Amino acid sequence: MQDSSVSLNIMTSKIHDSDTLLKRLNRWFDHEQRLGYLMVAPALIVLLLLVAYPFILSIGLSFTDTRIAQESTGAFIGLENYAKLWDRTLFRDKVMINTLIYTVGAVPMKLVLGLGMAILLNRRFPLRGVIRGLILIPWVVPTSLSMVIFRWLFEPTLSVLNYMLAGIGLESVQWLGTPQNAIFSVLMVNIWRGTPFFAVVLLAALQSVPKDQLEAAEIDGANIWHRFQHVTIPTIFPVMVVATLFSVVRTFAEMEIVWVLTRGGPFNGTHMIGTYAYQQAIQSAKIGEGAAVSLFFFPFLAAIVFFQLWYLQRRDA
Amino acid sequence: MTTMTTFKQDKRTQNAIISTVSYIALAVMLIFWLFPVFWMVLTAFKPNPEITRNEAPLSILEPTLDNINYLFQETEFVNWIVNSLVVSASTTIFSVIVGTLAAYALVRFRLKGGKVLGMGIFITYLLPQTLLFIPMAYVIQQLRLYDNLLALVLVYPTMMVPFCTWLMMGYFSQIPKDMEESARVDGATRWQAFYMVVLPLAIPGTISAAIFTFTLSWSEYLYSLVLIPSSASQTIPVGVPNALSSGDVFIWGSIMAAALIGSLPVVFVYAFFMKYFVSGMMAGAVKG
Repeated sequence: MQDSSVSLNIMTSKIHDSDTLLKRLNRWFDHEQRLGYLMVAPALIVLLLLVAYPFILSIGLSFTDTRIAQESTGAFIGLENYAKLWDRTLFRDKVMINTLIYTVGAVPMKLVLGLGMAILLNRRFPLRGVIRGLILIPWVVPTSLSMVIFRWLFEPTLSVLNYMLAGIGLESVQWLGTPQNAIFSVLMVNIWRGTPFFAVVLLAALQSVPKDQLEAAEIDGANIWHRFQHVTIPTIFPVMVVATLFSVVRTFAEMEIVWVLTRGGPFNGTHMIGTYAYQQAIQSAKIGEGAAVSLFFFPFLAAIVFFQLWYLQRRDA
Repeated sequence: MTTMTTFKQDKRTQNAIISTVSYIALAVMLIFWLFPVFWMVLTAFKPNPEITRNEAPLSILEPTLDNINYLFQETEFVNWIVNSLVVSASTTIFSVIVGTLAAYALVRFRLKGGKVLGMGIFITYLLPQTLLFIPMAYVIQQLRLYDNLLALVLVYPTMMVPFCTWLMMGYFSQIPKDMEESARVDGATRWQAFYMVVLPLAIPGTISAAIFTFTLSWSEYLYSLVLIPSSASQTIPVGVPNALSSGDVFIWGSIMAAALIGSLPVVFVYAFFMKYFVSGMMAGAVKG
């Protein structure tokens, strides 16, 4: 009897103790700073260990001749990787130029076509909801899978595109067969994939254009183009800027489309930063040199990202 | 009077021209953007002899499920689906929880360094994987996780946590502050006010964050390509294109069937939740 009541006592006092500890912990954390830091801690750990650390590591690796599967970091060679790249015609005349063609060619087209698409989709027509959904499919389908579809569309002997060209009396095209054709095809495919993104974002922006202002402008005699120029564009302009900058970064660093379609070929005719970095770092195991490839344009990407941040904050203020 | 009627007539012809032109544009647009999708679906159900004979490529004489059967019986497609599911689901659960917690603290608490962290998250969201995949491969190799699905579960949150945080920051900033304030007056702690009052209101936001994190993880290519070399452990976006280059003769029917089945989950998700995605993006874009 006695024993059990004693042990019962100990147990309840233990429960009581832990209860106050929990309560105390609860109270201690009921504090803006402490609870706040506790809540951001997991995200902060992810950012520090898996983003900031690899990024700094990447800068370090680009100054070494480290190879993949090597136990330790390679020897420090200073800027040699960067100098080597700069001297290499493949890098200067193909990788850099192709990346520029790809970005400068695709982004404005995606913006213009996306805006056109958004304007069309904003009009009233039968089955509007269904068509708005369907047009998004190219952007929604996992890119590497839609690139497999394009491999099939561009197939050298069975290409259905060539079949249709023959139907209207035109000659077959080797879509990915020559460097010029391949870069054109890859560019078209990028526009195909990216335009619906612009369309969705701009459609949402168009829907926020104040109707009464459009009507007032119409009563004042402004024609459709003037209304577009002076009411619609100013309203959606910030969204256009943000979407365009976002797309510049993504297009510039794009790897998936080119890699699945051409592997950078033929004759390195479609190699770009993403594909070349992958080839050097992973396939040729030169991790230091690959890091230098992907960091070569970091200043440019960083400038765009900071401009974007500045633009958004200025608009908020 | 006459000028008025001609004005009206002009207007009517103008409108007629605009609507004709826009219908034509709409048709051209639909053909250009949807033909590849149509072509995939068609090929997926076309028997192999018809594909190679290529006599009437735009139709199917005898629709078949052989391509799909082949995919499930003769290839590693089922493995890839399971791998994609495991990786996407784990990434989603982790990233949504971590992102929601961080977003709430960043929106509602005045943290020292909170602004810097918020900016860091936004920058991480904007930077492309191309910049990080090389050191990531190095780190994963040092951790002896190369060719292990765990590597992807570790790496995907680097993209998804910033994405979820950004989306949820937009969402939380739309929930009025007096919700928590009245809970606090009634004696709730800060955590209780979040957990029992604000979080239930933010459930639609977390659902859309979860859905889009899942689809983004499902579609991810570069990290998966770099970190998982062996075929049996690959995810769908890497396994399917690799099947193209592994054999000399491509079996286009089953490859299109694989692309079709691999896309279906994502297409369904967007079909039902697109509205949430756009509003989430806009909320994020406004708040930055």
